[in-house]
Amino acid sequence: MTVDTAEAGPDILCAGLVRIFTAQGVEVQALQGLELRVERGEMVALVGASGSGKSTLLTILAGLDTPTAGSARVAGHDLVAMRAPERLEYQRSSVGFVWQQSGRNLLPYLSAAENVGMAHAVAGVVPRARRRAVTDELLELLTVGDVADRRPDQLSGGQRQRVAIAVGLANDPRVLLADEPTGELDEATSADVLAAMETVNRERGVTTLIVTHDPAVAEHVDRTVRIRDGRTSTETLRTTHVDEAGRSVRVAVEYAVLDKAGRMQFPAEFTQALGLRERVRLSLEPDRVEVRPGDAVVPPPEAGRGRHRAASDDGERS
Amino acid sequence: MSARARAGAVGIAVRSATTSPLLTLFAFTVVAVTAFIGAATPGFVQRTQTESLRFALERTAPAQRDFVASVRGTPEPGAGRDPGLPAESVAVWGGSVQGLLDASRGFDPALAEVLGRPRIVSDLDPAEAYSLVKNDGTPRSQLTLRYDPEYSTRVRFVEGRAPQPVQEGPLEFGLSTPVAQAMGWEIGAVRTIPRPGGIVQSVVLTGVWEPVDASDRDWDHAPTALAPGLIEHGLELPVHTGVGYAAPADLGTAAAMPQSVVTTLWYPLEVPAVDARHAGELAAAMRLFSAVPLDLPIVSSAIYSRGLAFTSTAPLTITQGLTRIESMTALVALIATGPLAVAIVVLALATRMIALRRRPSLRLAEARGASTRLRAGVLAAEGLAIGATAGAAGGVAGMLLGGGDGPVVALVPALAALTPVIALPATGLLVAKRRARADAPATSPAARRLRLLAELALVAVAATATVLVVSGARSVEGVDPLVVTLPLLLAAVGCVLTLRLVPFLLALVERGSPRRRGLLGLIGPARAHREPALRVAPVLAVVVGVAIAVFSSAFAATVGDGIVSAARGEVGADVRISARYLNADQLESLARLSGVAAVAPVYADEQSRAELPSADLTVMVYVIDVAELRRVQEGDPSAIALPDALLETGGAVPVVASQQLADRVGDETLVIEGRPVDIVGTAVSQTPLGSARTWVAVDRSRADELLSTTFSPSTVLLDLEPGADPVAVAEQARLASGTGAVAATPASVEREHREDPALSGLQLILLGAIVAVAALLALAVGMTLVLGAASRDRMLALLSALGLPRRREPAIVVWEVAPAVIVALPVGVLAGLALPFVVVPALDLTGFVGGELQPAVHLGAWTPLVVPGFLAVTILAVLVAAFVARRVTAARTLRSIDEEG
Repeated sequence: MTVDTAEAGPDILCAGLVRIFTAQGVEVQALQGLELRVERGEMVALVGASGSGKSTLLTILAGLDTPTAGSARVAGHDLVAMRAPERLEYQRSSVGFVWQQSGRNLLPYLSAAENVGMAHAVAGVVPRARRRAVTDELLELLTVGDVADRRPDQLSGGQRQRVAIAVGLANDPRVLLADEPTGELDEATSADVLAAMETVNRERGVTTLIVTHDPAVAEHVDRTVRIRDGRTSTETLRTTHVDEAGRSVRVAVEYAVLDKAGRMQFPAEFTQALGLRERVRLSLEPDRVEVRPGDAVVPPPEAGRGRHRAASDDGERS
Repeated sequence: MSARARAGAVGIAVRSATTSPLLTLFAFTVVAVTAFIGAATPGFVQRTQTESLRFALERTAPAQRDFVASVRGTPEPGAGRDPGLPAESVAVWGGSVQGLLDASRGFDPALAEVLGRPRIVSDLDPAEAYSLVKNDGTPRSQLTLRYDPEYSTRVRFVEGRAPQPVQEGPLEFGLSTPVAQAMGWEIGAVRTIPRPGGIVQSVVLTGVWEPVDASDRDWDHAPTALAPGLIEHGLELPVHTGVGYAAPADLGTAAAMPQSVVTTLWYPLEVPAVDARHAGELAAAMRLFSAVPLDLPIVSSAIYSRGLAFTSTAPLTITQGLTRIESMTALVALIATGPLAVAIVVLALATRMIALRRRPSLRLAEARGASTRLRAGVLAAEGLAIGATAGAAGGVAGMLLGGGDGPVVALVPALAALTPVIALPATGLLVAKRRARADAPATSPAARRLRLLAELALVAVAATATVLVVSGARSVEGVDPLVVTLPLLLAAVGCVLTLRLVPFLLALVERGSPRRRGLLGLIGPARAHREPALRVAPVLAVVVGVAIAVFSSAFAATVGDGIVSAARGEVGADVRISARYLNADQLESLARLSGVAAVAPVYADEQSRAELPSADLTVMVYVIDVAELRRVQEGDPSAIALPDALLETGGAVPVVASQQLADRVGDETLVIEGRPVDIVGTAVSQTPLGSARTWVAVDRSRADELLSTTFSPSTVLLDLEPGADPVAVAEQARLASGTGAVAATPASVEREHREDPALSGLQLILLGAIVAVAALLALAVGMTLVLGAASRDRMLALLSALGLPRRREPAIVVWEVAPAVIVALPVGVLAGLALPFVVVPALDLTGFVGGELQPAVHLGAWTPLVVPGFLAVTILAVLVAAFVARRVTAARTLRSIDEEG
């Protein structure tokens, strides 16, 4: 097994991840060289429009699908090289999941406590004697201890998702993956559930990756990774600091992501504003790189000051 | 926390398995019913076969079916250890009866089981008894004196007294009241009987008796004891015949003239003890018993005793019955494969429904790290729980009710029980398997190649099997598995054909101009073409069901028609009269009966000695009038072909020979009674002319060259005028033919054949198979539609959001199954029509229809009705399923799209 016991590296590390689906001779590139790094204990949101490849990434991280190319390591497991027995071991003890629909999280005919018990029974990681205590502890942590004996259809949407988080954590995983955990909830309940995830992240040190298209989620995490067309496009870092007047201010700064091959994506509003299409001109300045429309007839006066390069939009993509 | 929270892995699996009790119950019911029918049918078939065998045995006279030996002489007197005889007989007969009893202890158990208590009687040869006073008007009487050690238990003297052994004076005997009356014999009257060697025996009637039980089949061994017989010799006075009982202890009188005594011994055949399951062994044991003579001490005038050979027609009857039994077994197995195959398809559909319910749990369990083995194991355990309990319950109930035994009883229950054990994990893992994306194709080029190869292999196997069966190149003892599986193979080929044809036709429909047809005309074929999810099940059900139904119907018609033509062939005319003797006057009056158009007597029939260069034979010679017989049998397809050569004069005597004899003769020259004969034609061995199988028919004009007596008619064939009532004419003809005459019409012979329990049992099974496949077909179609409900509901919800009126929804449902069913129906009909032509020649059906010719295939009047019947069942199933599908609300469906995707 390739479990990284040194625990030095990040908990989630994807590099050049590619996933191609072939449908009747037509290839669909769901992931096109995605880069993602989540440090141990971090809580990161992954946002993107519908069809941007979020769910494909999560399915790969959950060990339910394998990438076409690239590398993916989660909690020390190499998801590409992993064989069936290790995959089971990985699913049993290294990751937990929370999906959007409670139907995929919880069995409808089992109570909340039994659902946690089922995760125990399937994985067999937690010793039998401890299971009851673990169940109680988790449900209390997620403030659903009082409804432990109710079945999912007797719970509110928020309670259901909190129970789902408890089930995801049943086997004490290092990483918790959540796919649109608030997709079916109203704003207040969403905040509630996200707060619960924050608690878990903080108190248990569980590395958490939330995939969502809900911008509200971003408020609860320090780092938001945006993916576009199967590639990491920007990252937003949020920091909280106290301003001069003593008020706590949350500041968000958005960064573009440069991959190992030196590629990056421009936000759509940038390219539209300057009419950047196909060919653009790049010039290296001492402290920055300038990008200008490539169809400028007259060489700019500053041309001599830096190195010039013409870049093609198509060439970059291929 | 409550106890529920502590549910372990097993508890959770059980909880999961019991969440859809209706589906589980449904699968349970299908398994149980299949197992029940599968377990009960062998018992029913075995019972029917046994009844058929007993029916055939009951139809033969006891004197023929019992194992009888007769020998000239008397048994050696002596008492046995425990012969179980009446006191007065023990001293003389005990030893012989003991000997018979001892012998039966050494019999094969199969034989001993069906043989009753042995019997022995000695008869003084029948002879005329003369009144002491000549011409006193007493009727002429021929008396057979019988010594029967057990007669006192069978008769009760109502007048006079029982005969006693006498030292001197007339021999005492008793008669039944009707016989004494017919002979005009008063109690105490003495008559004399001349015996060989100039001995004149005087006999006296001491009393008249009545039988204790007139229906006792034992009386069949004394045909004229209860009622007198009559012998008529032309113009002479008729002679009354009868059996009188002398005192059994008086055997010494008879022993004094052993050359005039015949001792008859028999083991009665207990027909109710015969069982079809062991009939083969029984027939073999019987043959062995007949072949090895028993040694019993007999006082005989013969120097050398050959022992007693007990013979019976029972082994022959049983052997003939066995061919019927084997055909029936093969046929039932063949027909049962149809409903069984469809039942398994339905069961697979039911398990698929369960599997779909388990899908979310399975996916969840997989995501949480449950191994494939664990998930398959849990599903298999669930399948086993359903299959084993239902299979056992249905199987045991069917076994108890059907009363069958042997491994065959457990075969279908085991199959039914195993199906969910295999199908549930297989379909469960399949439906839970994540397709990478919804738009990814379900089949790869490799899978398509594999499918094509499998289909080609199936067609090749079916073709080979058909050729092997049709060519008759194989000879298999008992039930030929190839014949049994052939219908299923042909139906499977039909399925392949249909499944290939349907997408092609749908594509054609789809390509046709969609604008003209509106929304449904566009969506219907497009969906049917592109979502072929579960077409296999209804197609298989329709093809197999219709094929088996058409086959069953055609088969029933073939057998029914076969019986009619065999009966016609057996009677040979509109009416056949068999009498002991018919004089010229009687023939004349028969010809003059109203309604009779023509008569053709068999003028004489005589067993004759025939010689071939290689062997000696016994041949029956029938004397006919070629012109008369031709007229009577005119237009009859089973008429005996009578070539003109029969009328040739001079040279070898021209005859028509039975096929059996002609085969025996071959190229050799047949000589009958010293005269060479020329076989100018052959006919079916079983003939209306008489009961012989090796026979020749000769025209009257040449008869005197082969026979000395050319006029002793006992059989007459009558041709009726159009419109005459055969029953009425037959009755009149019978009355006109003297006592003991029997009239047969094709209808009466047909009725007798139809009484055979094997036939009614077979018809019941054929009907049952048709009903079963129809019901299963409805189930399969309905379940297919229910299984397709999820995807259909999604689309209907979308369409109703776009404004499709709800009343148009059933049309969408119809489009799902109709194309497959419409194509499958004619394919099934074709397979069903081909089957009888392939299968009937491979089965021996002569046992069912009588006669010795295999019946020709007839489709019958009912066969064309099968198709609309099945169509109606299918339409009904579709309508019910479409109606059920309407209850779903759009909102719920749209919400569930994501979860199910």
